[in-house]
Amino acid sequence: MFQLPLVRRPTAALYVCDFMQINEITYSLSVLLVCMDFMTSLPYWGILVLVVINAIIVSRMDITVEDDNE
Amino acid sequence: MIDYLSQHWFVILLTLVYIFFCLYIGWYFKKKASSGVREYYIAKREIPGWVISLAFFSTSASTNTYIGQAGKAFQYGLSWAWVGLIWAVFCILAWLVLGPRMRNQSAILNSFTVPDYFQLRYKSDLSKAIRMLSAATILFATMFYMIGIAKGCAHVLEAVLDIPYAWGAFLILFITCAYTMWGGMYSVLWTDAVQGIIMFVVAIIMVSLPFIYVGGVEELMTTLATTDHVTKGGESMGNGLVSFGHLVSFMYILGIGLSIGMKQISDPKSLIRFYSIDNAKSMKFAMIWTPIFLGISLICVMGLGALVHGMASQEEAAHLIQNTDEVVGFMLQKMDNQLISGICVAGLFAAGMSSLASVILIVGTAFVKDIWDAWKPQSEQVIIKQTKMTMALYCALVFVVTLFPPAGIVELTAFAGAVYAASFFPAIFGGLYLRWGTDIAALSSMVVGMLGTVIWRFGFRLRIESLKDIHEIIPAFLLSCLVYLIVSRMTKHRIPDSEHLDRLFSV
Repeated sequence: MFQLPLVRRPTAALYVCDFMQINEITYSLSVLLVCMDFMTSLPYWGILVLVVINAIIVSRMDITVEDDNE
Repeated sequence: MIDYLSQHWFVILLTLVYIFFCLYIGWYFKKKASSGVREYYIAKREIPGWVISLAFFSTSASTNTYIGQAGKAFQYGLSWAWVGLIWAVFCILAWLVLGPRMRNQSAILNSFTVPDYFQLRYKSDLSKAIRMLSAATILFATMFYMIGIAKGCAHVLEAVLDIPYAWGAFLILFITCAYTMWGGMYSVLWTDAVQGIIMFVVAIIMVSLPFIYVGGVEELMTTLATTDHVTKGGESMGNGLVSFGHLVSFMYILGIGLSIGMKQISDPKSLIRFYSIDNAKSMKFAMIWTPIFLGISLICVMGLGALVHGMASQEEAAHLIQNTDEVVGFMLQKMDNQLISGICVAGLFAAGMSSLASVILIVGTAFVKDIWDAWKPQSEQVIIKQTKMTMALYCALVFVVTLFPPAGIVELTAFAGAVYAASFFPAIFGGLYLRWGTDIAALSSMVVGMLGTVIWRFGFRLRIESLKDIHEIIPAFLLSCLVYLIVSRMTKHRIPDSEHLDRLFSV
């Protein structure tokens, strides 16, 4: 049976996750957010969403800066 | 003495290294900064984006954030992070809406300070009065802000190093004053950048301490949800720490959030950062990264006080709830770890110093360039000398008042923020975007904003129980914006000449 060479990728990804303890961190973060009600947790993840949106908007902007008028 | 040193040597060592580093930067830029007003006031508009970005972040977040706001969450729970969300929104708006325009118009007008921007932008026989009034507003509002910061730092030094409150306040004020006097805007921005890095790391360290102390995320969150601690009024908190609106009204959060967040779109110490940026690439970098630095730090710090409940006994919590400015000091004491305390004290010092340095310079420039020099012009070297002298005298005055502080850190800085936002924002935004904005409108909105803030706070909010959660920023800001728009429309004959406006709005 033909085997896809991509099979190795998830294994590597799982290894990286394990090395960086991403599962533990993700679990801890989810516990943290679940323990609060929605409105209390909103500012914590809301800030992250906002800064990402801002980064996308700014990276597409055309910005000019004037030379100093000495 | 030997006992004291053996107990605190590491914290003292780290703090000393940090202080000498700041003083060295000031000394390093001394000659360059003193070569002219342009160099001393705005660092010749030659500062790279990453430095401005970190400097803006470290100036916006101060002891108020790391001690005052973090401590407030002890009283109001994890929903206090809403203040952080509002703050992050205004940080983004400041860079998107004001940053590039302020940089460009200030360069075209050859403006060195925010008050002189008003004079040069509105260009009339009245604009000098606007400049002087805005400088006087800065001198008034900055006093409250500096007291708040000095008070917070003095509390930390008292808790961690047993340094008496008065000595702590003296040290933070005069060390910062020294390097600001030497290196002007150069030393303010470069030390701010380094302080920004320290603050970012310390925010992450601080938020992890309660989890480490209690033994895990689940353990701490369960403790918070079932705490037997009492509120300031003596009632049981229940699950108020993790529930929205139980311990504090949203109106109060909104008021404090707006007054602190809106400082970024109106406070001269933040706006002056835009003046010094060197090119478009740097501007773009700062526009992206400043909200990231600030946002992540706020996520870590704004709910910190609530987490400290997991470290406190019922008696300790009863004391801390009445004295929320002491919560962070208590947390460090409880951890009882020299390395962590040393790093955190350096970070808290950095938070206080970065904001203090900026406002100290703003006070000096406002008094000397915008009042004294505007009234009686002087040579550049005399202006620099007088600016240094003014900064030292103002710090001495702040020190005396800090010994008898009139309110808590958060309230003090929020009041200063409200004064700036209500007085300056309409004139700044109108100046940058509205060709039809006039000098009389700018002056009227400043007067109305300032009076509105003071009258609402002392005449209504502190006297009428039902209005206590409506912060002065809300009515005063709305009123001053309205006044600017109406008066501008009524005084169309005062619009500056079109040649001047074409030059300003050409970019």
